[in-house]
Amino acid sequence: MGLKPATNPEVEAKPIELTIDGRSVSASDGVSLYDVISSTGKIVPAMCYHYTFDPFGSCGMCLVMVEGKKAPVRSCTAKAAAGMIVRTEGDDLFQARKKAVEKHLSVHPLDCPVCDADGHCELQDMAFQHQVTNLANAKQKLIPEDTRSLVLDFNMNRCIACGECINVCKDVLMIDALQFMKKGGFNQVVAKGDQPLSCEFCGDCLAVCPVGAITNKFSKYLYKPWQLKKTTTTCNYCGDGCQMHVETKDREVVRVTSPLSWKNKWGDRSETAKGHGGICVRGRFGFEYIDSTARLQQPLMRRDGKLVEAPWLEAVHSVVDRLADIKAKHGPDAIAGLITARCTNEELYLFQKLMRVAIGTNQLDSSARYGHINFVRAAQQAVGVGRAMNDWEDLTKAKAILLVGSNLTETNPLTSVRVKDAIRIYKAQVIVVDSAQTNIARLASHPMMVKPGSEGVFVQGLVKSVIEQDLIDTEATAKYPKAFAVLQEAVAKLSFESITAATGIALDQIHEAASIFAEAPRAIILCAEGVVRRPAGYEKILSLMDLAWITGKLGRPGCGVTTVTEEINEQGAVDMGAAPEFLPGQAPITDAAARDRFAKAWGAELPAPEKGATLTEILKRCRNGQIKALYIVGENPLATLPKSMDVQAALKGLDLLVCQDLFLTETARFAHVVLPACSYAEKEGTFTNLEGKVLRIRQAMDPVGESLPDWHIMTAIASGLGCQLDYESPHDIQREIMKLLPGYYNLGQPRKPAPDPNKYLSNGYSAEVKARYQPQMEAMAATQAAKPFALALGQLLYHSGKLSTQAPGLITIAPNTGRLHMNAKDMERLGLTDGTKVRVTTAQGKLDVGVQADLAMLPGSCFFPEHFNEPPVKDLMAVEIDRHTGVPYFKFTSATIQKV
Amino acid sequence: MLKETYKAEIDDILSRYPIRRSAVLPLLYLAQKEEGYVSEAAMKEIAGILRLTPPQVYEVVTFYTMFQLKPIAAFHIQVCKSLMCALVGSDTLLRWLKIRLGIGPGETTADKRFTISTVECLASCGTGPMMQVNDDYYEGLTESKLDRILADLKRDGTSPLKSGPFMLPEPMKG
Amino acid sequence: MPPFEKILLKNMETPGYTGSLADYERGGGYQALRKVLGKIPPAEITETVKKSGLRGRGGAGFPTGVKWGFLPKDYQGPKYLCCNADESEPGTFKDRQLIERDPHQMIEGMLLACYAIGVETAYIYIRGEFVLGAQILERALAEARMAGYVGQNILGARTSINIWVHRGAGAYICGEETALLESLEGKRGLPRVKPPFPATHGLYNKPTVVNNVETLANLPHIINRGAEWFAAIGSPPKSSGTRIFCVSGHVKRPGNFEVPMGTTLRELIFEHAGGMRSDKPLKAIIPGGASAPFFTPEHLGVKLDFESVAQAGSMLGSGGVTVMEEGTNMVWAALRLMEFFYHESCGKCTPCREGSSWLVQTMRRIVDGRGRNSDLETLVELCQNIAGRTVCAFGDAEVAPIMSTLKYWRHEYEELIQQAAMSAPAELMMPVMGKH
Repeated sequence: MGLKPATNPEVEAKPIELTIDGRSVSASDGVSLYDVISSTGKIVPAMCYHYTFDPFGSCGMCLVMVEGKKAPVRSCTAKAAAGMIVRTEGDDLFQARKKAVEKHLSVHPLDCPVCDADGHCELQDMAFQHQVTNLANAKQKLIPEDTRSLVLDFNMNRCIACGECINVCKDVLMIDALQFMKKGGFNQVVAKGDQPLSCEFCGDCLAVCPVGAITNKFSKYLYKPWQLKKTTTTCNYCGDGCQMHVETKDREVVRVTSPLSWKNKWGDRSETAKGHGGICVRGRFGFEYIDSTARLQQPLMRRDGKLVEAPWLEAVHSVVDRLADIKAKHGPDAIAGLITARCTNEELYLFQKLMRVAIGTNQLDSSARYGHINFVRAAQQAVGVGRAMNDWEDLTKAKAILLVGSNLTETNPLTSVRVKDAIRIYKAQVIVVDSAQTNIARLASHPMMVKPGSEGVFVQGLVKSVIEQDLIDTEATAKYPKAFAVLQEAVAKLSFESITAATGIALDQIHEAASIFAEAPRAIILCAEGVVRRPAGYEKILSLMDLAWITGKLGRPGCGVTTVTEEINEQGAVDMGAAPEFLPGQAPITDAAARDRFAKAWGAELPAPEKGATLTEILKRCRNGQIKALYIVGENPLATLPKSMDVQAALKGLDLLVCQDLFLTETARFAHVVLPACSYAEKEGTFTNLEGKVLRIRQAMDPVGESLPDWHIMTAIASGLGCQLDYESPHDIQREIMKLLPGYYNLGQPRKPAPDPNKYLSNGYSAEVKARYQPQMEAMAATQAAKPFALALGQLLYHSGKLSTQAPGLITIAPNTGRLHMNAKDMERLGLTDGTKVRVTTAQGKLDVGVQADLAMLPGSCFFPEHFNEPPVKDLMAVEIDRHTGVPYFKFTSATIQKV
Repeated sequence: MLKETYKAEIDDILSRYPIRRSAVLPLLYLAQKEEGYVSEAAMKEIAGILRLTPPQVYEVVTFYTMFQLKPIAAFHIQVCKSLMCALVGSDTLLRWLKIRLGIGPGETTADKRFTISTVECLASCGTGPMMQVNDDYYEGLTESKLDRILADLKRDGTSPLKSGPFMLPEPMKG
Repeated sequence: MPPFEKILLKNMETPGYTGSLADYERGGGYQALRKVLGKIPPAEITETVKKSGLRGRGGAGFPTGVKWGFLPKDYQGPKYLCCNADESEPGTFKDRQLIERDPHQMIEGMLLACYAIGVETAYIYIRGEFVLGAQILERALAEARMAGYVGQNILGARTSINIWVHRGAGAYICGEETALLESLEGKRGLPRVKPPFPATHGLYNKPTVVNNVETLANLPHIINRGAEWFAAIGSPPKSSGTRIFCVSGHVKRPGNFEVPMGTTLRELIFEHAGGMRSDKPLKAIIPGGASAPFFTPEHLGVKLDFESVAQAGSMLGSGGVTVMEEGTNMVWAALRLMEFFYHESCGKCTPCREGSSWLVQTMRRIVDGRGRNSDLETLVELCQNIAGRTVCAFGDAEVAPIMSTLKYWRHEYEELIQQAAMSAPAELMMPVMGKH
């Protein structure tokens, strides 16, 4: 059926009136009659229908009577038309639907007692509702169950061939891992012919399967659906912040399910622009770390060099006493803190308050420092809004999307589904600028495979192309003639020859990309890890802002510059002030008025801004002895940062290292005190996702062992340090935040900021723009000649940070192969096959590692997943600190590769 | 290996369609011509040529009845069993075949020379009973005609009794 | 038999006619193309076809000119024409003859259609089993290309039309036009949900016309001799022209007969097809391929045109007329057809997929002498809940044999069931599993 007219922002569907069961109903012309009926709240049974994809029309259940037609009509494939008179109820329809149920049941084994879907089965419901008692014709298909997949089992005897799994996989997710095989009565769903399922394992097929044909390996034969407690909460892996249901039985997490389900099959297709309700492999199958036996059960204290279990009281007392002691002896700036952006907003807020008020230091940072802070700072600088400018709906309905340095389908799978929708439904042009043949690049209309590390040059090329092809939005540039003149002048110094040479992209392609972006009425730039985590990230984002500005995309609805985050609450971490440069609400720490306001609210003096320190500065101060105590909440710098950062030395020199975590991490092994924290499933709070939505997490189960929520531990420490905080629950903290940051809790609505480049373009712009457009080709070329391979660390679809490696389900799907991913042609050239050892040499050292072919790799580049340190490829990485934002860049370097 | 053996054909086939995927059936025919059936390896190769995933080829192969997924005999006898042929004796034809070759539908002779299948209407309803052996039609079959065809096939690998361009009824003389 | 000039079969029935390009040209071939190319505006040809009253010869009988008229006007991108040569309706074998004996006639028809609707690329979707037919077409196209009728700038005009042969691979459903398009796109031949219709979203989502072989073969004659000439043949205004009827079954002289529409069944069977093959009297007739409901001898007077056949409770369909003599068991006959439909169901829609299997199971049981009293009710109920419940018309087609035989020969069903009741011991009346 293609696009339903009502969902397209370009086409205004004609409003029509029709009559349903005697009631007049307004609808849009051309939409499915079924959708119109369900929009009135009436439910007509349908087994193959789901609002997220076009009607399939196979089950023959959704029958209604339309006046003028002799026989019942299948409402899903009928188009609503003006003046239609429709009847959805009646004995004739009941009988006709009953016959359809009988046919489904005639090939369905009645093995409900041992079926996982028992009690959560549409066929059961339908048979029951329609009083189907004729079961004599049941025919067995005798297809052996396929249990080869890592996460799903396929029992195709139960399949009713509704095609929902296939349609969701093909149409919504554009993965296309399932299909029908054979035909007629032998028609069945299979994965990759007779191969085991190998896909992105998002499990949306499982979610929409209305019977027990696809079952979840994790929960199979464990419990019946009604025995499980279902808690709706927010996933804590990536910045997408998907809503999901954690299903628990006592202290056990049994499974995770998505709002996408055959049970939620009614909706307006256009609503999927805000998300289709599915979740990804990490959310659905990466939950096992929550009740893992490796979780810390009790506090640990170092005695005689060993960490031994200790009671909470003793552990907290010891932390408080020693912190107080250090503060007394060396001053508050002998103490620093690091926190993970997987903590809740309330905890992040509390953390910075603990550091700034109870301790009195501005040496604090969060994992947003690994990259997202670049975006926040650049966006703050350029348009005064430190966050992504667009929500999912904007992305879905964009006409052009420029993806720079983002392996979106792997890092943020559900945001990528929005881009897929944009491609599929709204026919967006997608330009992917990357140095790997990523999944999203394969789907894109304009993949631009640039030479490694040249994304920034490409963006400069786009800016130059827009100016020289006269694609500028004169209205936008006319407001700031001076700034534009400087930009023009800066760009004029660049030559297209050097740009095409550096990027490897032909000039006409650059021009084409520029015109697609410039001419689209709704155009979005999305930049991610390949920009924010690689050298000069901050400046590259500013160049993207230039591009958006001169093409008139700043402040225009549906346009903007956007990013995605790796951890769920990186935006929240910055918003809550868990960064040395920001107070809550992204108020600059140097802003006297803001300082006053918070000082008053907190009843304390704020530490001096100039003494603040970011992550790398904190580690440096640890190493040189300035900092004596480090409080680490959920962070693991030892396993994250390369050896050259010498984190170990920093930790070893400390008088007190307190680690608060779910697991005994590499860093925690050096700690003096280890405090067991709760996971997100055991506490309440909120996360702020990449759209700026503040999303609730709800407690699904009792804390594991004696672990406590982070906010609880921090409250205790703060109180112990004499800063009396009487929070009894996260809600108390929430109330305080609400007072200080009115409107922050926006009831789960995406934030729609109004970017305003006025301040930037009128003031400091001219001075800095010249520096940003300096040609840097020579240096790049020189390194490329000496070290021909670009070595990158990055994320896999199946993992998120180090946390997911604690989830056995994800490790089964994607274990650490310990191998370097390389281009097949490069391997052939070097005489390598899968598993051959090579020696990788960088400026930081050398390492012997096996290799494997990876279709995504372009010649001259190689990749290792950042989730694993065995072998320690990360230690080969050089570290460069951004001079503006203090972000440590260590995901990308040049290397030589030789066969061992 | 298809790519090497049939490079020119493949290029020619691809040139006929604006979208590569359309070439699935023609390429599957090539594969079947090459090996007598469509092997896993061939499906993978075709997927590669057409930039599809192997399952996209697999789902197509299993939908169409003319593709064999396993090696079959040298002569694939397909007897039409639809009503129109049945009215004029296709069941008898099957019985004759059973007597002559000792096998029924779905079976293959021990020497792997003949496989018999029953198929649905082949558009020779006016000339039933009929059968298709590999690419050739044999129509208006009688016991003696069948015996001659089988003997020819065994001896020469083909038979002059196969149908030429179809014309029925023959125009009235004069 | 009144004197009548055949249109489509005239050439090929000339002794010595081989179907080569030279033969075709000698009989006036490609004159229609020369007449219109660059001289008559395309829209005018569509008008002529509309005026001629030509209706689709594939089965549904949709007016051809009107179908062409649905293509979006002023559409700039590529459009396609597909010739539906996937002749698979049991009882039908006319297209095979048209293809194998006179390929240029339909190629010229395609060229005219392409010119009329502005198509540069056309495909002939021919059923996979027609290996010979595909070879003949390839050869004919090669000839036509050499002669400049097909390819770039045909006959030196600015029009370019390419025609390619695309072989199906054994699936009846691919004769359904949207399934044909899916198949041509390299997918499984599953019918699409309509609307949108191929005229706007067809092959590769582009405007597309799908026409049957016989329909296209009529075009050169209409162009050569005018819409009025064609419109006067047969039984105007609704059923103009001739029709090739494929007579099979128990007749003396089975084969393809081109007669004006409106000829009676009696004339077709007893004059053209030579009457019954033996002294057994006529018992049943299928007038329009396997999807058409059965007729009885009482219907011999029915005129073979779209309206008359429909009025009499069947359909003209694809023109496959199957004749059965007395002594043919109608339950068995219906089962044979039902087995065909069961085998050919594409498997998409549950009512058809499971319904056909259930019907075959029940019918087989009755024929095998294991029928039950409730079976007739089951058959009716099943049939009533398949028709109209599926994406394509296959669902309507598959119930026709059973519904019509039940209507006219219910007693044969009842007799079989009665015999079963007398012969089978009560304890054997168990649910019966299908043999699949």
